[in-house]
Amino acid sequence: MSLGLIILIIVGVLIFFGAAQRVLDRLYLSDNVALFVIAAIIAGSFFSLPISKEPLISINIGGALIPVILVIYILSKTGSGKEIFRTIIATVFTAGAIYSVTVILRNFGEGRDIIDPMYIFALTGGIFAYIFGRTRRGAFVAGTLGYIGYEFVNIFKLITGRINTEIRLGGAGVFDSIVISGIFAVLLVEIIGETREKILKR
Amino acid sequence: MRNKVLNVFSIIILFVVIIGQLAVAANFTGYNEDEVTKVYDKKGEYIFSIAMGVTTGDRYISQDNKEYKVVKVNNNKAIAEYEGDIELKAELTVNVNNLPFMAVENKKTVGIYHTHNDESYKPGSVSIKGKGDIHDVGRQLAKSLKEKGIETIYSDNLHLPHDGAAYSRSRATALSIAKNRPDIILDLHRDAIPDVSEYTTNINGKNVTQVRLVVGRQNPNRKVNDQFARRLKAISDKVTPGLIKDIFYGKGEYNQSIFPNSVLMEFGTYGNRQRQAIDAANLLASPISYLLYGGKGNKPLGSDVEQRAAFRTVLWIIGIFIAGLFAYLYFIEGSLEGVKKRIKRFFGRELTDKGDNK
Repeated sequence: MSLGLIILIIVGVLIFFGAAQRVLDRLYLSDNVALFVIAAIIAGSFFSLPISKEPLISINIGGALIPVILVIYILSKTGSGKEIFRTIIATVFTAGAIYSVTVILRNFGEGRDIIDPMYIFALTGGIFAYIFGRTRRGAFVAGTLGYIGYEFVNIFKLITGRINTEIRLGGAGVFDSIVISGIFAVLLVEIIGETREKILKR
Repeated sequence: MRNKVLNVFSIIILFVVIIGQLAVAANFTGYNEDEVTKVYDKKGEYIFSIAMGVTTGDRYISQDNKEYKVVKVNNNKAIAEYEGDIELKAELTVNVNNLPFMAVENKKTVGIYHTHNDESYKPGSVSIKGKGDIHDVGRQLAKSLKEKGIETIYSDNLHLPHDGAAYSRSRATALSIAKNRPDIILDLHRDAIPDVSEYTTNINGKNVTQVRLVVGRQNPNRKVNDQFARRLKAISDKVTPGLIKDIFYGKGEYNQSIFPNSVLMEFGTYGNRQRQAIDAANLLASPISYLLYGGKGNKPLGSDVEQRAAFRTVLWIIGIFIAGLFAYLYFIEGSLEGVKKRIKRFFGRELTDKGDNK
């Protein structure tokens, strides 16, 4: 691989991780914990836990397990039952929206979309989380669990024999839709939130 | 009170955004694999069809190296502007009689996978619940490459259902191939346009499918992938003329941001016979081999052209990132002074006492 390509990959990854670190910062994790979580997600990306062999269902540690643990941690810190309830509603709506988008628009993702589906999933999570919870934590939870929820529909179809496939939950690790959805959802709420504050100040 | 009005206002804005998104996408809800976009030039002359969404700004390089840019899309009809004839790199003067040099210590690797596993050819079902005909095409390409001394990583991972999240699922596969640091990654498909003749050619007395290269415009590796596609076509035009049909630059990511030198390939359309696609895969191994090792007078992949494209992209990414960040900060702060203060504050905090959570 040439030097140019290596630098290209490194720059892309650095910017992505930089954004991820800022996002975790906004979730009331301390800097050190945020860095630890990112390191764990990256390291965990290389390992998957097999759930079942036939049909193949596996869960990636960095791409799915750690985000889910993070979600549980964030929810446990939330304290308010009302916020948890709102977050759950937002998650259900996000999963439903992702399902509708992928099923109704069957060839979504083949260049017929305005932006890439991966960001649409994140956008949906961010939007619903904002409508119901209006918190960054809510956005992270809805973005992360929303996509997992959508994949659970496929797992259900797979187990009941309606489709023939393999499910690698969070298989792309740090680049999986699960992680990207969580991060982008928070960034979205961040941008909307800052914009609102700005308008309110006037 | 003001707060409440603002809440309602922001929710309405959000709904407008999401409904707007869906409404534009809804143009395509009637789409099924048999529907195609037909692209014409400004004089109304037919250029090509593709079973894929075409959007304004998409680009196209025809078999005879004419470059077009899509300027208008109306349902399943698009208008493209002729931008001129392009000359694919003159450095690519492959001597067909001179077989590529294959140094053992310089082993090359090709990754192959299928995002849409179901894709199959007639006769029989053109969409299979599981591993479709396209898998045999991928396996043939892997086999032919191996015979030329090229390592292959062939993945038959399933990513069904063939829905909007198929590329999200195949991302895991692309990444697992990328971890082994191949030289190129190919996602093999078959197209779904109805006219078989558009995708069929005769090479060495055999009817074979042609191959369309698809490069995603929506990802940071697009310049490198573009160079890759152009070089492959240039070489194929000399080694196996007619095999590469054209190059389409569509609005999409196609997991090509995972790894530079990634390209999507359409081996014919569903009306072709599987045999024709398998034969095409066998033929394609030659130009790929030339591309990786370089023939006489042809530099191998990884030379200066690719370097330049990569460096240019790095500069673009950094530039866009800084400009975007600045625009965001300016919007928040409302003045240049505020932006300066914020940047100072950020660096003071990040570089001295490690953060604000203590």
